[in-house]
Order: sequence, then C-alpha cells, then structure tokens
Amino acid sequence: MTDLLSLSRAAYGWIIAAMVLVIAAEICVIVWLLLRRFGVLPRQNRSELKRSKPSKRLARIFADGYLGLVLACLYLPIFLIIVFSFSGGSRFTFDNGFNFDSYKALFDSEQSAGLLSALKYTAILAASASVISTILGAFSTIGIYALGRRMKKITLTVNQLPMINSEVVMAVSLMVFFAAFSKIFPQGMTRLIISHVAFCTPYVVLSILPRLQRMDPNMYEAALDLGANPFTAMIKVVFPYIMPGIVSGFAMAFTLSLDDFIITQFNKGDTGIETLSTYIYEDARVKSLEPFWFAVFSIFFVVMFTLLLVMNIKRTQKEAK
Amino acid sequence: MKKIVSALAILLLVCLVLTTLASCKTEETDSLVIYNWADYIFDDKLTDFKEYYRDITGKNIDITYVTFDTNETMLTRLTKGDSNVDVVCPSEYAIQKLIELDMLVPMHYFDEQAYTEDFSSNVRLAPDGDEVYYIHNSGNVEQGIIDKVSDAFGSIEITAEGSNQHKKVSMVDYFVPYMYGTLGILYNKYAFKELGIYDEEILNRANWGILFNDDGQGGLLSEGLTGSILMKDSIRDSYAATVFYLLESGKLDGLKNDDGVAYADMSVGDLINAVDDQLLALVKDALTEQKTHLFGYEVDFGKDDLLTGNAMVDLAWSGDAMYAVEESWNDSLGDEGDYELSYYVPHSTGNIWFDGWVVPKTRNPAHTDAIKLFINYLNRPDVAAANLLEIGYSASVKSDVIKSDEAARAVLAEGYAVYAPELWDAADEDGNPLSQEDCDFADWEEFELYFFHNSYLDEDGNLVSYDEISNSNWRYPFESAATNADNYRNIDSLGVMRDFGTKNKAVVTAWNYSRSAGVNALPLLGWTALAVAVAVGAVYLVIYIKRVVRQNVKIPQKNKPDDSGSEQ
Amino acid sequence: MKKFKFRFSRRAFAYPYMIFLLLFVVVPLVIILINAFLDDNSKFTFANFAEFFSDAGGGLTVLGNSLIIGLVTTLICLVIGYPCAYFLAKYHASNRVFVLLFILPMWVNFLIRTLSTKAIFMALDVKLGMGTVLFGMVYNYLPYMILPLHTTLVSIDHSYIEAAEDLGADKMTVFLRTILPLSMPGVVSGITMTFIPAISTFAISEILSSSKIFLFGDAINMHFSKTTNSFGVGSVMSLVMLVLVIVANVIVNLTSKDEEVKSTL
Repeated sequence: MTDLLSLSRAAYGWIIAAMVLVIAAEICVIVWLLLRRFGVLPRQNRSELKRSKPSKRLARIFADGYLGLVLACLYLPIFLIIVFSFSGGSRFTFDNGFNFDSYKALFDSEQSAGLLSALKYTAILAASASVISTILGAFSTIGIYALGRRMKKITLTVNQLPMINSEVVMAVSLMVFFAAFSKIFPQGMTRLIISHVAFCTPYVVLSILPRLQRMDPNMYEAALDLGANPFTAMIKVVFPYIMPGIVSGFAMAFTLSLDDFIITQFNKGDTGIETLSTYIYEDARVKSLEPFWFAVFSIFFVVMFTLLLVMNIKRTQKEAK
Repeated sequence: MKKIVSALAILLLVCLVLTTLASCKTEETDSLVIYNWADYIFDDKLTDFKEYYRDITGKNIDITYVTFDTNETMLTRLTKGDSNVDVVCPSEYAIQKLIELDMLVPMHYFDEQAYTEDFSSNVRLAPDGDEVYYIHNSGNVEQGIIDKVSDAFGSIEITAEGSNQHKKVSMVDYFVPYMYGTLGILYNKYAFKELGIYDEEILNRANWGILFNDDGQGGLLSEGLTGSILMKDSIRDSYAATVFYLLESGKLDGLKNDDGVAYADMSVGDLINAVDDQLLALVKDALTEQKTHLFGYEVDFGKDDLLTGNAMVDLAWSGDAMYAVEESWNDSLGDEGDYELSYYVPHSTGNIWFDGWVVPKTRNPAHTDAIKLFINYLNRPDVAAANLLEIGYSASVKSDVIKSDEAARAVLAEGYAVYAPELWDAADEDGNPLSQEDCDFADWEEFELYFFHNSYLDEDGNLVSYDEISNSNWRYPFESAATNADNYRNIDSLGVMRDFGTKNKAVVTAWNYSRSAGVNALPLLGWTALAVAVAVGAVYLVIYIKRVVRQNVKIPQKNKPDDSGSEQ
Repeated sequence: MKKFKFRFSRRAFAYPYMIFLLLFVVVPLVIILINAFLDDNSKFTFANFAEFFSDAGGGLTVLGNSLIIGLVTTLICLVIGYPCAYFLAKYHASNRVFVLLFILPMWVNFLIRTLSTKAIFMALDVKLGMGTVLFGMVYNYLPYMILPLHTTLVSIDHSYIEAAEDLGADKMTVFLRTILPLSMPGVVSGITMTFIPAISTFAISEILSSSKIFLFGDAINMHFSKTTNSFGVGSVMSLVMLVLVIVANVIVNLTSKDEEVKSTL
C-alpha cells in the first residue's frame, strides 16, 4: 500500500487514463454489439466468409485492416485531445495526474465569457440564416421549377455559383460589396445573416428541386380544378410533398451556417460579434492551445458525434422498417 | 361634484407637471461613442468616468465602446464613412493620414483656453464650492512626446480637396497623447544562456541582427537560433526592424539616397522614413533571407511559443513584452526565481511610437462636453496609473506626476502588491491584513526602483538593473533619458515612423514578396511525379508479368464465373 | 388562359430569389471585377494585373506553390481515399454507420481539428513546415474525397463487373477496365472537392506552419484584411481563383453527366 501511495501523481494519471480508456473501449464494444443485436447494423455472414477461399479471406482482412488504419489516423488527434483534456494541461502528459481542471476552466477562465457570447451569436446566426434561407429556398424552388427553360438554366447556374465558388472569393466579394454600400447594410448581424443566407440557400434549392421534379404535376392542377386558389394549392398540395426536401435543406443550411468560418471572418466587421469558428481562430490560434480549449473541443467532439450517430442510426432503423 | 372634478383636475395637473419634471431630469443623458484598440483601457475607468461626468456636469452619460485591432481597420472604417464615433485612438502615422485627409477636428489641448472655450454652461470650470470641478491636465503630459511628435511630423499639409486644402497644421493641435511604447526584441534569456549568446558584448554587437541570426560581423549568431526566430506579422514594424538591421550590419555603407545623402549619416528618424526603391529592395532581400531562420510569423506576441521553447526570439512592442516578461516569472530559475523572458531595445537604433486621442469631423457636435471631458480625464494621474497597470504600455502622463500623486501611487501599490499601508489597506481578498513578507515589494521605494527604473538596490546599496544585458529602462524611456543618461539608452536613438504615403503600396508589395518567398514546392512536385511514375510502372509491370506467366502456363481461366457467383 | 395565369403566379415565387442572387452573388463578383481595374484613386488601370503577373509581390510564386501543394494533397487524398471508398463499397456498402464514421470528421469544425493536430505536432516536437501543412490538408480533405468516390462506387451496376469477369478478365483487368472508368465521375468530383479548397484555404497553412508557408488563400486574406489600399491586387487574385474554379467545374461537367454525384453534398 505504501508502495502504491508513493507512485507519482503522473503515474496515477496514466493509470486512471488507461482505465478510462479500457472502460470507454468496452462501452463502445457493448454498444456495437447491442446495435447489431437490434438489427441496426447488419450482421456479417461469418459462415459465408468461412466458406470462401483463403485468398479471399486474406483480401477481406487486408481491406478491413486498411480501413481500420485510415479510421485510426482520422480519429487519433480527436482521441488524444479527449484523453488529455483530463490532464489539466496542454503538454500531452499526465504530470498533474488525472483531473478535471480543464473542465473547471470552462467556467472560470478568461475565455468563458467570450465563448458564451460566441455560442450565443453562432446559435442566433445559424437559426436565423437557416430559417430565412429555407423559406426563401422553398418558395423560390417552386418558382424556379415553373420558369421557362432558359431562365431556369440561368438561375440554376447562378444558384450553383456560391456552391462551387471558393469560399475566400465569395467572402471577399461580399466584404467589398458591403463596404461599398455600407450605408444600406450596417455592420454586424445584418451583413452576417445576408451572407449566410447567400451561401446556404443554393443548397436548400438543390435539395428541394429533385423532389419537385419527381412530383406529378397533375396533383397541383387537380387541386386547382377542385377549386383551390394557387396559394392554397401550394400550401395544401405541393408543400407536403416536398416537405422531406425542405427538412433536409433546412438541416443542411443549419449545419453549413454553424460550421462556416471564412465568410463570417471577413464579414463580421469590428462590432465585437464572434461566432464559435472566428472566436476559436482569434483566441486559440494566436496562443498555444490552452487546457480550456481541450475541454471545449472534447465536448464538441462528443456532442457532435453522438448527435450524428444517433440521427443516422434512427434513419437506418426507419429505413429497415 | 364640481369640487371633486376640480380637485381631480388639479391632481392631474400636478401629476403632469411632476412627470414632465421627472422626464426632464431623465432626459439629461448625454452620450459618447469611443473607438479604441481592443484591450486598451481599464474597463472600470469607463464606469468611473460616468460618475465623474455626473459630478462635473450634473448629467448622466451613456458610453458606447467600439474596438478595432489594427490601424488599417480603423482607417478603412473612418475613411469609408462607415462610422459615427466621437473619439478615436489611432497611432501617430494614422493620425497623420487622417489629418492629411482633413477628417479631424483640431483640439488645441495644450492651449487650455482654446480647449475649454466651447464647453457648455454645465461644465463646472472653477471651484465655486463644488467638490469636483474641471482641472485641465495637459501639464501632466510628458513633454518628450510632444517634442518627438513635433520633430517627426513638423507641419502636416492637408491634401484632401476642400476649403482647408494645402493648409499646414501641427499634429500637436489635433491629438492628445494616451499611450506610447517602443519596438524591441523579446527573447528567452535562458535559451540564450544555453546557446552561449547571453552576453552583453555579443548581443550589443548583434543588435537587431538577433532577429536575423546575424552576429553583426557577417557570421551566424548561433546555429541553434535557426528555426527559432519569430517575426511580427506587421508590415511597418518588420520594415523598421529590417532597416535598423541593414544599417547596423553595414549593408547600407556607402549607399546614398536619391538626394545624395548617405543612409549611414541620416538620423534614426530620417532613416526609417526614407522609403525609396533602393532601400526597399534591400529590405525585401533581407526579409527573404531571414525566412530560412524563422520559426514563423506571429499575430499576438508569441509569448507561449517563447515559453514552450518553440521559439527563442520575437519582435515585440514594449507593452506586450512587459506583460510577457511579468508572466514568465519562474520560481525554479536562478537562486530565488527569475523572469525567463527579457526585452531588449538595441542601443544604437530603435523605434518609438505614440497612440493618441483624436476627434473625427463626423462626431456628434452635441457630444463636445463629453468628448473633451473624457480625453482630459484620461490624463489624470490615477486614471493613467490604472490604465497603464491594466494594459502594460507607458501612459503619456509624466512618471514624476504619477510618482507624486497619492491616488496614483495607491493604484500602483495595490496592483503590484506593494507593502505600503499608508497608500492602501494592504489586505487580501478576505480583508486580512498582509504582512511585509506577503507582499511582492517590501516598500514603495523598492517598487519605484523596479517600476520606473527597472532596477534594484543590492546589499551594498548599489543600483543594479534587473536586465544586466540591455540595461534599458523600456518602461520609461523619457525618464531615463533625463535622469540617468549614462546608464541608459539615448532617447535620440529612437525614431518616429511616419506614414509611408505614396510608398505604402511598394512596401506592401515588398512585404508580400518576402512573405511568399522561401517556400519552394517544386521538389515536392518532383518527388510526387516520381512516386506516381513508380506506381504506374509497378502496375504495368505486374500486368505484364501476369500476362507472360499466363501465356507460358496456358491455364484456361474457367472457374472465374463460379467465384463471382458465390459472392452474390 | 387559365394555365397562363397559374404559371405566372408560380413563377413569381422565383423573382425575389433571383433578385437576391443578382444582388448578393453576381453584383459582389462584378465589384471584384471592377476593383481589379481600379487604382487607389479609383482610376482605371492595368497596374494590378501587371503587379500580379510580374510577380513583384510574389503573387505568382504563391499561386504556383499553392497549385503544387493542392495537387499533391489531392493526389495523396486520392491514393488513400480510393482504396478506402472501394473497400467500403465492396464489403460495407450496407453498413451505413460504418461508412458514416469516415465522413463524420467533416462535421467537426475544421479549426478544431487543425488546432488539435498542431497541438499534437508541437507536443511531439515535430518541426512545423511543408510536411505538417500537407498532413493537415490531407487530414482535412480526405472525407471530401471519400464521400463522392463512395457514392459512385456503390452505384456501379454489378452486372458490368460480372460481364467483364464472364468475358475472362482477371481481377486487375476488371478493376482497370471496368471499375476505374465507371468511377471516373466520382474521382473527378472528389478531385474538385479537394483541390479547390486546398488551394484557397488560409487557416490550415497559417496554423500548421506558423504562417511560414504562404498559400494563395493567405495572400488573398492578406490583401483584404491586413492592409488597406491593396484591394486591387487582391481582386486580381480573387479573379484568378474564380477562373480556376470555373475551369475545374467545366472539366467536371465534361467528364460527368451524372448529376447525382454533384448533389451528394
């Protein structure tokens, strides 16, 4: 016992970290097995694999090994950040043992207030930009669909521009544009919302358009024949049909706006508005990564991954049904 | 009934009068829009100013505080008409530019009568029984700043079209000094010790060459310095440092400018403002050459890179450097702990800069009282002390004034934990009184030596500088010039940099060139091409071998369809 | 008559968006175009083009370096990503969650990922430079390569492969003559999705080389946000970037008639 106690704090840190890792790995395996048990993940047909030729089995093992390696490389940095967010430092060692200092720093660090306001602005911006671009996109897609061939082609080509264009060019062009008409577009949220709507709406349009193209045009006409005016027909007939497209367009606009850095960076001006991306850029880039950011990043990784995984698993389950 | 009605009417009338009176009172709120550098004021002083304003004018004030991060951002915003600010705090060259563009209102701060002339009747100018009245603080401003600025800028000609075109004015009439500082070298003392270059003679020979890994005699300062030098990602500062380096390394010897004046004969001020094509080409080459020694360019002040050992030297401003040095205190260094970083302004040449308050023509004229009271308020010794404590640069208020002002001393004593119960209550956060050992400084004298002279008294009572190498009191360069000229650097060796004017574009181009140079991706392309060629060759070889083998063995490939069938 | 009326009313829904696009997408680009021909005093000039193409400010060098780094990044992504997408399509096509794992990092803020890699490089005492920048680029853009490749590879009709095998082709030939050509649209779209961002990024190179390696995106950023009075050259650079984007997309449109690939993102 005395020997154990004489171990350094660092050693304790490593041991606890290793234990946590093992437990995390076990939880992953259990979740994986459960998912397979409930049919979310297809079970591999082992017998089929066994029956196949050895060379084929070898190829399969090679393929899985390769995929595993790439996955490991993709997740290693993320993984290390999460592990060492419990070290309370930013040197990737457990010199001070296993602790929650980084997470405590979330509340009492100099950056706490900045992070909070950045989160607030990010949420406001993403919410308003995605709602506006979804509404704009939904109505305009219906309009574009009804356009003549030539106009349709032109509009869709211009619509593609923000998607294919390099983000820097788009950001810079908007910045110069706003500076030229600064009287009409005051610095701050107005500019940010407009620029976010400008690059999100094309994605909304393109996610609704295919559904609209698949829709039977007679449905709309039938509604008109039955006495509905065009607007009612639109709301009662067309919208329900393209709803899945609208929803996925909204989700896309929301994540795009949430994730955007370059366009926000150029158009935020000097009114003190920072979104999460620009705040990270301004704060963490100029200094070495502080423990505070380890905690923030870890939370983000975990939340993002859980959300996306759960969403996709649910979708898979739905489709399986 | 009638009585009741009239009573009600009277009541109503009284109410109306009362509310009008009340609303009158609340309407007495002025406002002020301040446009300042980020983190360039102690926030509490803004709150204090509101109180001060109420005391002196009897009115409330709303302050809108907006910030910028470079002079360029600020200039763009002001010149594009994208602003409605009342007071701005640019650097000296940006003020020059704004004056040339005829965008500023002259303040005449150093002429008390002219400054106070257009105050409204609300401002209490004289002590007529009031506790607080207006005191003009222009006398507190360091005379050295005014001299330096007048020297460097002379008379500025307004070039913008308009009634004032070609009018020549003095910058002193337009701005009120706020903070100033020097440009110098921030370095890791202990890393230098390890390299064996922490030596007065070596460093004083290398001077600005430290940033270029040049020992001042054409050789490398140290092999170990290569890849450990940080450069400030700022055009003007890098330009100045490079010109100084060129001068010291003898690369300007024998060269003359277009007017036939040798660069080596120019004063420091003239040299950094002599931007011509010849000099620019040399600067461009030096910066390009420097890139092989760089760790990178930094946007903040590289404090973390210097402390973690990624880099050893950085080009820095004095305020940032002071903050970094104070943060670098390490108990395990030296006998009783030591600062790991140090700041060094080379003795031969250097750059000094000033930030000051100016008032753009686009201000709200109704805010005049607030504007002038605010600017003057900042030159009060205790306010200046609080601000310089918070942001680290040197306040424009004379150090003598700060030293002799009770309130200012109290602010500093508390901020630096000086054991001086006569100044502040010397207690910790819980109100327990601190003993002399608990405090960082035993008494005010010790602190004064440290803070204003960067030195301490050793056991024999000799004055010793904390910084044995540079001996430079970079916190108060004017003070040291006046009192201790032998020991410290000469204030004349610090030059003020003017706006590049028409040469601005050429400087930007040269800077961009040196930033883009030094990266050669061609070998990368070569290696990749080679790798692709090898890979394609290998695939073809395999195919070829297979074909040859198959032709020799001549086994018909019959079982293929079965295989793919089983996979289905 | 009735038909005309209904068409008109529906079409009107497109007009606000058309005006929006014109105002906030087309007009800004036109302003950039105009800016490229203006000097400091807003007079017409070709000086900006002259400065860029004479390499006085190192603009061409930067473009060249960026193109090479972008190319190498794309190649590495392709070399790593193609087998990935291929194996995924071959063995795990039905396993959606597994495929998702490869795309997931894309949804985590790229600054977070890049800063994490930098922190790790620093802890390992890796010298920041070309190597780290390339790693960061590949790390960031690999998912963008895998995604379109996977989409095309999964959608390849299996009967083609069977037909090839029936005709006696060995595995290598099947791959080279059937699978590879059929996956070409995915390859091209993956290349543009990696190449364009890789040459125009500015944060990755800045973070992972301490601003030492200066790419085209950094140069544009520098001209617009760190200096005044150099919008002209910056605009020329933006135009060059725009031309590159358009060229890349013309190539995509020529090689792939498949609209689905482009709408995967």
